[in-house]
Amino acid sequence: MCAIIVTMCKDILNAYTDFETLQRQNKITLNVKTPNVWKVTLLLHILLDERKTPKSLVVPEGKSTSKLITSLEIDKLIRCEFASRYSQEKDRNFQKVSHCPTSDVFNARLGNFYQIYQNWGIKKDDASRITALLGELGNNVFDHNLGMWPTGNIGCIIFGKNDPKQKMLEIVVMDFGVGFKKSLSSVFPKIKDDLAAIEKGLQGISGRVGETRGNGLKLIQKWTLNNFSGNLVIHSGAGLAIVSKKRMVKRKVPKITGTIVKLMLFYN
Amino acid sequence: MVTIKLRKFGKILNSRPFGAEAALRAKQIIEQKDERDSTILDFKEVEVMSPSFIDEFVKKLKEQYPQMKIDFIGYKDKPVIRDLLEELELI
Repeated sequence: MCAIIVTMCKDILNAYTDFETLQRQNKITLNVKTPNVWKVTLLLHILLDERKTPKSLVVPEGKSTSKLITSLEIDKLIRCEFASRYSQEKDRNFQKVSHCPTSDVFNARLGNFYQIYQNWGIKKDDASRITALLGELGNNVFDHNLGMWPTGNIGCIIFGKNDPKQKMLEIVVMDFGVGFKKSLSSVFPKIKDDLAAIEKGLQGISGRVGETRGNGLKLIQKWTLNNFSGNLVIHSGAGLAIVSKKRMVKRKVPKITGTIVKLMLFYN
Repeated sequence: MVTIKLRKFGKILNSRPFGAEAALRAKQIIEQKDERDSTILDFKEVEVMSPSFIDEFVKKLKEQYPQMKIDFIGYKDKPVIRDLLEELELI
């Protein structure tokens, strides 16, 4: 488990190698054999960012890459150019990309996500806890961005990947919202940068002025690390934090609009 | 004394706005009773609950009825609900 977390941390940091170059391209080629979840996440964020010129994803020939795209149903959200022959076979261990523009849609779909986790063979108590975590992540997106969305791209985008052999689940929740720094700046106007804002958020401090709240992210962190022995990755603005039980890795990374959160969870 | 069965609000209870709305509805239930000194919140058959929901629900109830005692039942066989209630120092 520790080895997986260490490898995943390296994969996450390596995923930024060509990120800024990709952000400038109009056509992005998915040219990795078995892309890791964070790499796919970053690509998806670039492709869906309305502030950038419309982009398309070139999916070369190859069973694993086309299977990834069709399993996640990314081709239903963005323009994909497939090689002449591609597989329409889906991998049932992917939770397809779901765009929830409003909290009503998100809450309505939460029941479906709960069912997906149980269909993957995750025991009910774990599935319940995972769904509560996902619920809280989605709540944060709407609680901190409602009425303040910087672009027309509102709501949250969710997807997941199950590894039944490792009994490991990765869930991604991303948005094109204001980000941690702007959200917390109402309470902490002098907050230094995106990384400092993420750290404050993880301590249980909320940007909602005058409201007694802020425990959601702290609980997400606690359950992810303690109940699921996993890790939590947050990229907001130009700040990246990878939190595991043993340490927190913090980096400045290329800037994005909004926030991406990934949970890696080992279930029973 | 009033018993409020949370499953009548749904088996999946999520979000602060929903918690606030549920508290308003709970108030309607409580107001129908003459005795409002205590309320029991029953979590039987609730399958998923987020901290935002229950935090907002209980907070709004306490704002309306500051002197009312609130007890919690139906959670002992649900480790997730139990952990949440403990985390929020409600039990």
